[in-house]
Amino acid sequence: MGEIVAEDLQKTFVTPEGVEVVALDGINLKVRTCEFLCVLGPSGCGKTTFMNIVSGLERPTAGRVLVDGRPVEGPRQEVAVVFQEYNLFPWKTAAHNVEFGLKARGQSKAKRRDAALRYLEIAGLKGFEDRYPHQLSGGMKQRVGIARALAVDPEILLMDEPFGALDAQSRTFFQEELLRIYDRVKKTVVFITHNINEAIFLGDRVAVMTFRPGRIKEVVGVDLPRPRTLDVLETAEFASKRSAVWRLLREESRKAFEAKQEALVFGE
Amino acid sequence: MEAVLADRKTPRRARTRLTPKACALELARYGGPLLTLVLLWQAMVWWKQWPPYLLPGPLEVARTFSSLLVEGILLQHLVSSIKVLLLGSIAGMAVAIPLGFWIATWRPASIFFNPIVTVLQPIPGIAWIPLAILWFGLGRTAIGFIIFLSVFFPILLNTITGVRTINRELLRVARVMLCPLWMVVTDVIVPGALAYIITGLRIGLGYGWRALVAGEMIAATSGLGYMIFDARNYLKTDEVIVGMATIGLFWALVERVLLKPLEQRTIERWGMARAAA
Repeated sequence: MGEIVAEDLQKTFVTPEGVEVVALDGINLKVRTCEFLCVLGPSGCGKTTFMNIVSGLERPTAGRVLVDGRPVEGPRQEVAVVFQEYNLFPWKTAAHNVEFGLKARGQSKAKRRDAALRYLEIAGLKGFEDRYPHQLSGGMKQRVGIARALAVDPEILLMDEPFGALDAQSRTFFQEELLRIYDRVKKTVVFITHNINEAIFLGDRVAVMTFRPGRIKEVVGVDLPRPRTLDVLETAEFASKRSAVWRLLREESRKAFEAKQEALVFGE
Repeated sequence: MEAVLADRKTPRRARTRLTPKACALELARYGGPLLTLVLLWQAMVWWKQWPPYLLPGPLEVARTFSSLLVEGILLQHLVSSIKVLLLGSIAGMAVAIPLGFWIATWRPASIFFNPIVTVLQPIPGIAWIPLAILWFGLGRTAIGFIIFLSVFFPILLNTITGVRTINRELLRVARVMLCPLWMVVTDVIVPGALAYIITGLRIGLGYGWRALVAGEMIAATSGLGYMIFDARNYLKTDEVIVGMATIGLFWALVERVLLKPLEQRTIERWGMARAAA
């Protein structure tokens, strides 16, 4: 369970100025059960749009997404999301944030609390249950976000640049943490990132996206053995994978950069 | 070891609680400056030697205060005022908060109500007094109506702003979690808008209290405003000042005992507002 199939996904936006932007142009992708798939692409390539469609928050202009063979028509039980900006409820303690999805599903108070404590422990936050988000560091907040997503026991975990707001050091630390959690809970994970190291270190496969219109350029298999630790980063396999992926990504990054410059010059 | 323990006991910023010691401290903090004011007033009386009906001295006023208190007259007027304030405010909140949610979340409602609110909102509550008297006669209903109007707009406008400024991403979280509508309201919208609603309450109740006193001077037969106005008719200036002081002191107490703790327990605790110094 937890298989995702995207068929010819197309998404077109119309900007407030009336310009049509093709965000996604024919995405075909299959994510296997319990696979850790990273979607890698420059910013503005439509990664987040893709994820919003898979989570059911947005509808595609054409094409469809199937989860376990059934088309996605809106948010659903089996799918949970970890957001880039954590998006914790400031008025809820860490435990109550984690309980949120369970409360929405009508679980009893005692059961919710049990689950919250369990997942907070998995996320390495034992003892911080009753802290409010403003009393936690950025990394801790994201752990609460991950625990909140895991607590509803989803088949699929969608993560939209969850470590994007962290500094480089904590980032590598949290990547390792995430792998530890992944090895423990085994879900299908779709992880969005624009960081090559992160994508290769975490993923079973890396889907490289093109910049505008967003397509899947190539899916690269990463056969580094699990469990992985940060030592992997030093191996020759990692280095060769990295340069292979970088060759794919380089051109797209340049396009993204030029588009940004153009936007600055012409005030797009 | 002790230091470590003491540290662990206060992981959060210490909040002011109403322990006897804190109360004494608070009293000193308020009492000092207020006492200075009273001394200035006394100096004024000694220096100018005005007749008591123009400016009675603090001692005289204090005597009147205690006799009015002992006779129960002061309390009777105060209670009468509070009752009307509560009634009008609760009615105001009961209409303004749901209406605010509605206007903030449904565009047609916003389009329809915006001009109405814009025109009615600047009309002060007391400007409604003549109509209130015509419609409800002299007495509590008329004053309650004035309070209702005074409380209504600040709370309405703040509720609208509060709901509109809720982080959209949190609503997306609720959606992917398949959150039922009632829970979106109780767990996301209400707490999300609470900072603004409390501000609205603070402003609204303050307006209401002022409007109440003004209304009672004209349209009531009891209450602090009535007491002040009635005393003036007999040139009992000391009673006038007692009434004024009661109005100020009572409201300072409400702020300290009711409104401030409400903020501390909610938005300050959630880190949504900086603690007031």
